[in-house]
Amino acid sequence: MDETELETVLREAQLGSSVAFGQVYGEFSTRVFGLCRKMLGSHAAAEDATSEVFERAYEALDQYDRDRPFDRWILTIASRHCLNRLRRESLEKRLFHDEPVEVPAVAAASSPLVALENREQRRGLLRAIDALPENYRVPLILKYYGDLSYDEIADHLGTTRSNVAVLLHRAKRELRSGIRTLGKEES
Amino acid sequence: MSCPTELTLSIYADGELPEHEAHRIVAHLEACAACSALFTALEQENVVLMEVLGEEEAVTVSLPAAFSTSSLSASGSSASSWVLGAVAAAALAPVMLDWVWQATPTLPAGVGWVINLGGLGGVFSISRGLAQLFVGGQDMLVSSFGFVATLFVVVGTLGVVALRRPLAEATAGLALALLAALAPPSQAHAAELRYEKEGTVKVAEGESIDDTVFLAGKTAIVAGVVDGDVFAAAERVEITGTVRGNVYSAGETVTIAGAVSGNVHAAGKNVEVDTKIGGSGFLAGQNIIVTEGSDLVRGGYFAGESVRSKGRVGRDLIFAAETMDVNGSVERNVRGYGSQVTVSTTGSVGGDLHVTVPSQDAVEVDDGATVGGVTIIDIDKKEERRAFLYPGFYFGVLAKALAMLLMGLVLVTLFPSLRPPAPESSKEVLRDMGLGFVALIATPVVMLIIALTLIGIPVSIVLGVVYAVLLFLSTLVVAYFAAQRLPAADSRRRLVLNTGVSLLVILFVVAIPFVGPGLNFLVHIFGMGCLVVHLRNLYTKSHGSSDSSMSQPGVIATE
Repeated sequence: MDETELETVLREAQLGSSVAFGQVYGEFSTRVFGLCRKMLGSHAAAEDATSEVFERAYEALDQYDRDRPFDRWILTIASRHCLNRLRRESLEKRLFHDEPVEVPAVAAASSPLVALENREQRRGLLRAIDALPENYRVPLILKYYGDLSYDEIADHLGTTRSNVAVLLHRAKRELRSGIRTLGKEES
Repeated sequence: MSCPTELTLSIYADGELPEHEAHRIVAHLEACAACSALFTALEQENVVLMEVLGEEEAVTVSLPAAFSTSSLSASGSSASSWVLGAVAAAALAPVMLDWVWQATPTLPAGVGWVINLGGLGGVFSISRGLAQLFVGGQDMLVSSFGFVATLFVVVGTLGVVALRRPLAEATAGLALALLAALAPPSQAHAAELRYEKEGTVKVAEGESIDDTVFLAGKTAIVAGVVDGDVFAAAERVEITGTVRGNVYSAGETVTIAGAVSGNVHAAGKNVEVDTKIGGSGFLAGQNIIVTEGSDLVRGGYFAGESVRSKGRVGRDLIFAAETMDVNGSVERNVRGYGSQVTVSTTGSVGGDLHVTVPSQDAVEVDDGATVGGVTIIDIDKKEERRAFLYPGFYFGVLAKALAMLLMGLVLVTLFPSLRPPAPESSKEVLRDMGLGFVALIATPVVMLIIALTLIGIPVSIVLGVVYAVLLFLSTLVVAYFAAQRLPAADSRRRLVLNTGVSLLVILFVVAIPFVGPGLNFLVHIFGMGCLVVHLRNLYTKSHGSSDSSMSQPGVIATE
């Protein structure tokens, strides 16, 4: 779907056409599902979340400002939704506070992430991402999958911009060491 | 200035550093090699993360009930998947049959002639037929194309139904089939449908219809006059009246005895033509007979087990048959494939007689027969079953393996990203094979269709070249996958060596009689499928990255 087409479809959807909304769904469900899957970590939960997100989006469609990119809008809804879910699920876990975690520092200059060539290794990376603690995983996904800015992520997580930077930085460090050990296990 | 922290660089790589700080970093990076390297690594890391996270997973989520209406099934994506399915299914049937028959040493009685339609000879005769269509005039081209399109859609629909696609799509297919059937041009504006499940449908003597007529029943008879085309499908089809358009008919017995101004397309167990046909005759069946006194004003295209052409053919006669008798006259050339070809005393050929047969004595030209041009007899040697006994075979395999390996090396050196990733699960293997099967079979069909438009011929040629290259490389791809499974595949040199060895093994295996061709087929569809999937991924990736370049972190920061 190109931009003008999308615009027409969105306008129709805003006017209440369920067919048009179905097309919107067809266009964006993969990405929304992807985000949910990565944030929630389970296929089934992501399926539920995706349909809930679209239900919510359908209700809130007249609040959507057409000057904003639609994908950003719907991914924001999705990430909020997933965050709420995660929070509900782990109430006692205080998610996004500044906790000093000791990570063996692996210098980025020789990052093993960069050398991931084949699909198997990439799968390994995905697994490593899934295995990250939630407070690292969520910002990482919002940034590199959802394409949100630091400010947006900070807003979502109820934290500060600089904390987001730190969380991302640490998440990547953790990944590097995860991949290192993975590589060592294999060889 | 002192070096910035890794955190600062990381923020900068994310495009989130405030502008004044970013300026300082830029200046520093130019001066400091260590920081510059670190920054590059961080940037690359981001790219990898985006790529890995962006690899889409299969979505099985259904639309929430609130807005899942049936009208959604009319959306574009399902329509295109339907078209794909239809084309694939339509393409599938004949080639599958051909392949099965090729692989079966003994044929059930009565279908032996089909083999003549397959193989290189068949492709040749089909392409020759197409060329004839171009030359034969626009009407012929258009009507034949309509016929082909109809066939495609009908077979495609059946295929789709067989694959248990949702009912709605199959219905849409049937509707399309009807539309396509109406597509062939005729003088008539509307069509007349006559249908009788058990009885006889008839355009009675003295009756005159200036429409296209569709007849279906146990027996279909046209005794009156039809100004448009006649489509008839019945156990017995008889045309004794006058048809001013074309005739498309299928049945156990098809008899054309009336006058037809257009072309006759007929398929059946027994097909008999006993009349003058204004256009060409496209006849296929077990027994085909064109009686004495008949006249095919344009050309004759016959495919059957036993074909007797006793009448006159105004232009060329092209055939593929088990036994072929030319008893009548052919004004121009005869080109054919068969196991027994006879030109009898009463037969005459105005141009050349060019036949491809299994042996020299399979062609008989009786004393009284005349051939105006030259007589060319090609001997179609059966595949050498004992190739393993000759050293030439081994050199051949070795040379082929080396050539493939070399070509692969050159390609991978030039375009490293062309190397396809090995499938990881049996599900992926199956998917690749399925895709490869479709690609292997649908591409030639698509090429033919594109070539039919005349303007599309260059596109068709390009497609053909790509197809040939993919086909050539498919074996190599499979060998490469096999090589990865062999020990010590991580060093480059070993990998190349392993690939070469696997390639040799594969090439030997596919040369084994009986089993070989089947394995060869599997190797090709697998390799081809992997290549197609990989190329598609490469395409979407390059496409996607140029799209998303607008939303890179750097851009976000400036928003």
